Amino acid sequence: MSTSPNAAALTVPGLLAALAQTHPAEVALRHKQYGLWNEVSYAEYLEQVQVTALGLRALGLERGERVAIICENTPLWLYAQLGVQAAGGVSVGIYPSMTTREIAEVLALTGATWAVVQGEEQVDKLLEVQARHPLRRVVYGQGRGMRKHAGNELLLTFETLGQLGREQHDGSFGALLAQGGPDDLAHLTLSSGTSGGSSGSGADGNTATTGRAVTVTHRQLLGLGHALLEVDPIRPGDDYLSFLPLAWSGEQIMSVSVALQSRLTVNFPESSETALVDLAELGPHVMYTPPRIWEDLRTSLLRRMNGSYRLNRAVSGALLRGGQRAATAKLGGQPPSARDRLSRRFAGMLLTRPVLDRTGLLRLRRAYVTGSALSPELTSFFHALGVNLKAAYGQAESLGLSHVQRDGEVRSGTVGQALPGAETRLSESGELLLRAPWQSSGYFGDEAASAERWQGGWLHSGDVGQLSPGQSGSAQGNSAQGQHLSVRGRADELCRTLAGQVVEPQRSENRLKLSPYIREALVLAQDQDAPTALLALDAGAVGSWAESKRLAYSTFADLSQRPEVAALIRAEVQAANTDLSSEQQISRFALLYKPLDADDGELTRTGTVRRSVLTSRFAPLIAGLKRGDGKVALNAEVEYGDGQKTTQELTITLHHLGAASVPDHSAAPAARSFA
Amino acid sequence: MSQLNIENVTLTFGGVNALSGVSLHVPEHEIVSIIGPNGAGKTSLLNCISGFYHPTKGSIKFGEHELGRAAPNVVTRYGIARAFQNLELFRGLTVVENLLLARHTHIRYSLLSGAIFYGKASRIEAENRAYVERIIDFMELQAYRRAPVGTLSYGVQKRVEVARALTLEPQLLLLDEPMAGMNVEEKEDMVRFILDIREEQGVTVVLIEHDLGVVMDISDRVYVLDFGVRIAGGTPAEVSADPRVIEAYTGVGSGHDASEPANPDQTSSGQGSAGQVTA
Repeated sequence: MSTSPNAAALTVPGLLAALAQTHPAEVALRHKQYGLWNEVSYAEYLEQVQVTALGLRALGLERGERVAIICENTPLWLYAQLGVQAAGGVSVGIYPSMTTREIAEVLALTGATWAVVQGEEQVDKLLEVQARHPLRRVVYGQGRGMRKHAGNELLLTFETLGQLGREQHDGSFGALLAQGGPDDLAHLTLSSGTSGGSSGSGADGNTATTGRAVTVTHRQLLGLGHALLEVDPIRPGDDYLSFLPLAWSGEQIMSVSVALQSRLTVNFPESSETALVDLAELGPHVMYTPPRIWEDLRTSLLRRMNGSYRLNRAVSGALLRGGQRAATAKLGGQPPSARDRLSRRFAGMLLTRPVLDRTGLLRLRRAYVTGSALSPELTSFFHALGVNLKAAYGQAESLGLSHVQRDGEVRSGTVGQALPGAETRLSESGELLLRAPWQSSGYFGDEAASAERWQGGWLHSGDVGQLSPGQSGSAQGNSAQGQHLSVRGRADELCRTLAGQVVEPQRSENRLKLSPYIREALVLAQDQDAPTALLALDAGAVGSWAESKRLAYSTFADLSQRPEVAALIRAEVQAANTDLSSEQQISRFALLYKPLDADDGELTRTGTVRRSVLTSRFAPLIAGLKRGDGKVALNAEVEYGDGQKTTQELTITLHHLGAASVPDHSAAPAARSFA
Repeated sequence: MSQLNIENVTLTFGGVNALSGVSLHVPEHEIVSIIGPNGAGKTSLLNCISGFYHPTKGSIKFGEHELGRAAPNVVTRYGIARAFQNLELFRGLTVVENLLLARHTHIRYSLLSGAIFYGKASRIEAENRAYVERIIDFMELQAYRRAPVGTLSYGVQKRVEVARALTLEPQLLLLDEPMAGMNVEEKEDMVRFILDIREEQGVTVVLIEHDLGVVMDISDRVYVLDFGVRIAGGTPAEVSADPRVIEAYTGVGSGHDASEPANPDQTSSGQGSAGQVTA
């Protein structure tokens, strides 16, 4: 364990200053640029943070002022965040993909009047916001395309800021750091915005979707990393690839808190599009991701295996099945059969090691998966390959993490045990209550909402949970610590059918999404005879399937209503149903005529479905499914390949699984009038 | 004096005058567009500048250099690069390889030195690679670095074509319909690249483009050709108000506001106007 003993007494930039003293030449960060990995040592890292902090002070940043950070995954984000914190300011993490309107909302919510941004794109958004929400200074990293703003007093480059800071360089940085204490507010992170709540959503989904700002102090941020390191130690110099937005609480845990407490090297990809290539090149030791990445990876691996020649397919399929049986047995707590163990050993030599090497996962010791539930199939698939996928649970209010599965005790369907120091309790209604030293103490500037979520020191998660006893012997101490938590879904999302059965939509959705052809799924069951589903196609996978079948189509809407596609998806849903218990099985489904998009408010910025937006936007479809109609006509906005949008009258076919044997010749020539 | 001066250029094929007495001037650091209906002589003019054709009469001067009789490789050495309408890339080579190949004019070591690949040769190769990487970064091609060009989408290939021209470190860049056959998003990206090429690299741009919306938006100066004759020239506002331009585009000689009828291509631009434009 390499954690410095007094870490908890320090601030985040204070910890960096200490590291720069003890390990000045060690590699802190790597950034791929111009095709090469450039290294940044702790001494250089601190130097950048120092001049940023001093530069901001020189410009007049006061202690406690909020500074928005809107950057891609580059060292610039860390320089800015730690620089702001060293200067006594509060960093506000904003997703670079957010629209101008969303950024305006966050600035209003947090009162941030300063910003450090990547470049032109974000500057343009801020200048638009500036009219309503006055800003004091905007610092940008990349000068490209900025000539049009020459002479704008509001703007300055990160280099100029550093220059300003360098001029102030007179040993005052130490004193500046000393003014900060571990209990100062350090950072504001956005809550996911999926939980609905008062932010709500209108019929058009055109309302506040950015969530609330969760306060984070230095002690809390470092405390969480410390607790995680107690469970899963990291060796100094281990590699981590930072490619998910640093505005997301999960990315903060690893890139800031854990990295500084364990000397984990944080690597930044060349660009967001090259992240997977850079991953293969780097081969990180630890990852922290939402399930989406693993779903995509599984889809692409399976697709490539299926595209291979027959012998290859047969051998790889057999090896994988044996490995998966062994993994499934192990995840269920049983010893795998000797035959499966042997098959797994073979698979390791012939199949999985080369596959993992190619994808960059060979050195990976553990990958945390959090954000939404991890399906058992996905877990066993990757454990069969030898990837230690560990489900974790947390909310932005608990800084992103409170429970994690332990090595060797990964159990399907659970999200693991509480981190050391965290406590878990269930209320009478089954709601999960959390208490942890690192947990945030409230929302920024919203006492009413804070009082509602934090009652009596317990964070009310809004999730319905279940606790089951851990392995006897292995979990020491109090019994609640060792208990495995499983999360059944948001309290307000659990449904009751007309027959009175409780349905967990998330469970069915996760199973459906395992199909390579289904990108997103929304399962509905409240007051229905049986669960129904709205499905969004995976445009890439279905598109290439259609190509291979010589199926011509014009738009996504057209593709989604083809009877051939309906038959394909029907088979996928039937396959999913066989894995689901009877009350969870899908009886009817409809295919959405558009892909879900975060810019339309349908997904959060980390890619989770916003139920409230979807249920209001696709209300006619949902009503049709509930009634069991055959078709629903509606007016829909359709986007063409060249970006034009028009409103079109569409007839969406609703597919009934009960009548599976009846071939779907009745499908209307819906959405056919495009040519 | 402008950077590129074309005086009274006439180009004759047999009895056909592809260009007759065309004069135009391209000042440094400007974006100058040449527009005109199909067969107006736009690409012929570009061919004269880049040395593929030699004008029958008249002179083309690029700074001090007379281009009228210069071969294409000589023109390139003077600092003029061209991105072709029909992509001129090696489809089997990767993006990096295509760009490195375009650096051949900057390879200055002997065959022997190259065979040993030590000292000067390896240093120059490293410099070339570094330059290519800067262009890859500039044109945002990082994700395609190692992909064979033939496997890339058309819009990306167009970007590689422009990158290839930029790799020659030109002072003047000739772009022949860089946006043909692109969707709106790709067009927006390309417009941003063209503006940045001028701003960041300080390169003068001569542009042939059929999307008049784009032309009028980004050009400092527009010249209009029709049947090999220059019929108008000036700022975008002047040109779009010129009755001769309206007539050339619509075939109607009425004098009402030009901005609307002068956009015959815009509506069809999404679905691949590539086929219909051959100047």
